[in-house]
Parts: sequence; C-alpha cells; structure tokens
Amino acid sequence: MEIEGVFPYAVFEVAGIAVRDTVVVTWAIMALLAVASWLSTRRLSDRPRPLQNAMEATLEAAESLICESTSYDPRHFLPLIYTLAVFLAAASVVALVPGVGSPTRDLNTPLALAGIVFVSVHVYGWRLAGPARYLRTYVKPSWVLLPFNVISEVTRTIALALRLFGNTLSGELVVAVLVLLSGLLVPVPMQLFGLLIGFIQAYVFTLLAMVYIASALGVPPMDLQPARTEPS
Amino acid sequence: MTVLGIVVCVSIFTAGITIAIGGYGPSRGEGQALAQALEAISRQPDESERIRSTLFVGMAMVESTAIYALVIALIILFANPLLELVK
Repeated sequence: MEIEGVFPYAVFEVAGIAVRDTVVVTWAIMALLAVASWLSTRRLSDRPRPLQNAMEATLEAAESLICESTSYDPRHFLPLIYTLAVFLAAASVVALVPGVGSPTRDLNTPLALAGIVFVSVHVYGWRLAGPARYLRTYVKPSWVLLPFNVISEVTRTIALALRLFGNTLSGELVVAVLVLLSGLLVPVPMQLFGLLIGFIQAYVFTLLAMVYIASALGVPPMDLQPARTEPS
Repeated sequence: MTVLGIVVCVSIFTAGITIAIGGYGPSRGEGQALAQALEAISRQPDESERIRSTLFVGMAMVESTAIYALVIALIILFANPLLELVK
C-alpha cells in the first residue's frame, strides 16, 4: 500500500467527469443504511428483534442529544441529526474494510455535509423561531458584533468540514505509514484508535450541527420556555 | 543547489515545524481541558453528562487549530503549489 493510495482516486468516468471512490462508497453506505432501516421497520413489534432494538437505541441517543441542546420538539431535527450521526458512524466503520477508504477523507464529503448543516441552520431558524427572533440572533449581544456574527457563520462551517476531514485523513495516513514501515499486524491498534476517533468525530459533528441550529433558534433560557412535549 | 532543491528543502522543514508547533499548543490545551473536566466530574459526578458533552464540543473547537496545521502540512507535503512555480 502506497501513501498515495490513502488519497481519493477516480474509479471511472461519466461524461468526462471523474467519479471518485468516495462517491461510490457513499452510495454503498446509503444503500446499506436504507436496506437496514427498511429491514428493521418491516415488522415492528413491542418485543423488538435485535435490528429494531439497535435502531431504536441509536434513535433515542440522537433524541437525547437534541434535547440537551434545545427545548424544541426533537422531532423537528431528528431526521437531519440522526441521518448525520448514522452516516458518519458508518463512514468510519467502512474504513476497516480492506481496500475501502472512508468517504470523509475526501474534503468534498465533509464540505457537502457542512453545507447541508449551514443551509438547515438558517431554514430551521427562519421557520421555527420566526424571522424576527432569528434575525435578532445576529445582533446579539450587541449590534456592533453583526459583521463578526456573519463571518462566523461561514468560518464555523468551514471549520466543521475541515475538522472531520483532517481527523479522518490523518488517521488513515498514520495507518498507511505504519504499513509501509512495519509488518502486517502492527497498524491494527492504530486502526482501532482510528475507529474510536471516527465515532468521536461523528458525535462531535452531530453535536456541533445541533448546537449551531440551536444558536440560530435564539432559544431563551430553559426556565422561561413552556414545557416541551415529551418525546414519544 | 538548484532553486527546486531549495524549495523542496524549505517545504519539508516547514511541514515538520508546522505540525510540531501546531500539534504542541492544542495538545497542551486539550490536556488541560481534560484535566479540568476530570476534576469537575470527580467533584460533581451528577453533572458528568453535561460536562462531557461540553468537553467534547470544547475539545473539538480547540482541535480545529491542530487540524488547520495538519492541513497546511499535508498541502506542503503532497500538493505543494510552489513546486509548480519554480519548475
């Protein structure tokens, strides 16, 4: 395995546009997750089988993550947040398959995900908090900070993408260098470490997406909020 | 030494220095954040959930500085734009 093999490479071309392996792996993950969720919800029961149980457990974890950062009904955010979490976790697991690289090691994937977060922050802010309260978050705590707030909208999105990209790529580079330097089994602990890093980054990415959305909602302190509807 | 050689030498040196200094600062900061969080958890075990999520977010923020340094080092090593200029 060469060091260059770590970087994304073109698999085939469609109408002159090179399709990188990241796109192929992303679609494979999407298909896998779609099949898994179809299988797990095909026969829902009160005494869930393992797959349904796993899905429910992760869903509840995502729900509690949302409840920690905002007092709105978590069902507004659950589709986006849960999909991000599951996709990123799957992306870090898929890197363990020999010959397959995590799709997040290509800067385009994290940038696209961060772009989705960027757009949804404003859509959620505008829709849920209403234009007035959403726009007021830009002049808090003082209108002097308006340009800085606008700049930070862009920079934090880029930072979100770069963080995920850098962590994934550096993990895979370390493994590749170790393979180059030493034998077969030496990089295994580093791969386990990379898996851990991948899960932590998936958690951090999801959490930060939620924190950004919550900040655009301009939520007043918890005790001033009306009691939220409990997640069913 | 040719101009290309000088640029390559300086690039390698700079990449090493970038990742050394860029890794040193954030790791010191993250270590301190972790130590403080452990102390806070040992004092108030009930609040460990909240402390942990805040710690993760804070660490991610601190770590982005190290990631910037890493990206710069990677660009210098693998996609150096200056090499095109002197060729």
